[in-house]
Amino acid sequence: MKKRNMVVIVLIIALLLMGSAYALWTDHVEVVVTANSATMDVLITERTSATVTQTHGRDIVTTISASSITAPGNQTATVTLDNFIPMETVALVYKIENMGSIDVELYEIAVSKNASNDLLSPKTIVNWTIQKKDAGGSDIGSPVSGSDTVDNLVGTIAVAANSIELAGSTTDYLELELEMYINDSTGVPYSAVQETVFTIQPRFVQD
Amino acid sequence: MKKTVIIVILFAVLLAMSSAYALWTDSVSLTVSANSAVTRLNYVGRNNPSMIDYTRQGGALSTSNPYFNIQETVYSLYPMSSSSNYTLVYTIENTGTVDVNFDGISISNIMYGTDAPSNRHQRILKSLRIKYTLYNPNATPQTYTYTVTDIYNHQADGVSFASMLNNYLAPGETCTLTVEYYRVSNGSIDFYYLTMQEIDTLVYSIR
Repeated sequence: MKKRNMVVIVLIIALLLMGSAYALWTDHVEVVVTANSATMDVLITERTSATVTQTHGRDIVTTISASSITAPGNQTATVTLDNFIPMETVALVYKIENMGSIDVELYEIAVSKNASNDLLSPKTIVNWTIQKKDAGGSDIGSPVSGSDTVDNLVGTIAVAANSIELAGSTTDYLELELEMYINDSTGVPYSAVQETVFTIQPRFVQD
Repeated sequence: MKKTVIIVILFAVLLAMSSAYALWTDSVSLTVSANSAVTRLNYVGRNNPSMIDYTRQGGALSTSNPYFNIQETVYSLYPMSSSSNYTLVYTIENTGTVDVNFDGISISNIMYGTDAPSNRHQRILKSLRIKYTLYNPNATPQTYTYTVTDIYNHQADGVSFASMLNNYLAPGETCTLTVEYYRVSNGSIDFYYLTMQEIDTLVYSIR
């Protein structure tokens, strides 16, 4: 019994010594891994143009006010047209850039409307175009475009695969152009304000 | 067995990768709010001479079909009688949202009655005068006067304000339109009365 106890004690001491020795005989190296994820960041970076033209021969009455776009860009932008009348056409041009690191592809355009007294949407025609351009402003490839009343545009418009692609961190950009007018042959018989509010949302997916 | 486990693990990794891929979408939004112009004139005031019934129709105006109607019925006009000269003064306000130009006045729906024999109706009607005076502080000249002298032969279907420059009214501004009805003496018909009704349409358009 004594002998066995002795053996156990010796073994424990031996183990402790081994542990101590082991602790003394350790070393390490560190490998620091810095992982930066890819970024996907498509932004409206500039409103390049906002014009009103007329076919009635008088002074233009439609006015345009727009939200400011701050660097590096906004995900949303708003524009308000006041005193909008038939025979006047508003054209807006926005620059869309891929500020992220990965390539993107336009896959659909969603259009929604949201106005409490939306009487203009059935007669407001929207011609929309999205064109890829290079840094010099020259067209690259063919645009995607469409034209209809706001009412008929509401929903999602699918864009064919590989139609509009935009590489990450490139100087190429997309130009979104909207041309709008009220299609009302009766002129301006509005004794009360009529309005429409709609949102056009180009959607992108990783390419 | 070991190979099968490795394949299963690889599939799981691939599935996890495709799940992450589906999350990489982005979009930008452009919201457009459009509010129509309102073209509207209202009566602010009208003097109210006795012996005159009137109805009035305000309404929406348009560049293609503008109207602002004044319907007056004038009873028992006698020539050269101060008590039978009727002067109506309308104060008109632009209650719309845009400037409007005054283009002229059109005269329509003329009806008349008299106690004279039918062979004298023409002469009686030719004794009628309607004098329109538009006073607009913005215009040059500020006052325009036109007297209708021959309603019977429809030589006064319309009055043009073309000679007035800057004949416009901004929102909130007012002008006055004075309409005087009287007869001139024409001998034997003087003792017959003339009752007449007509509609004056003040034509205006967006400036």
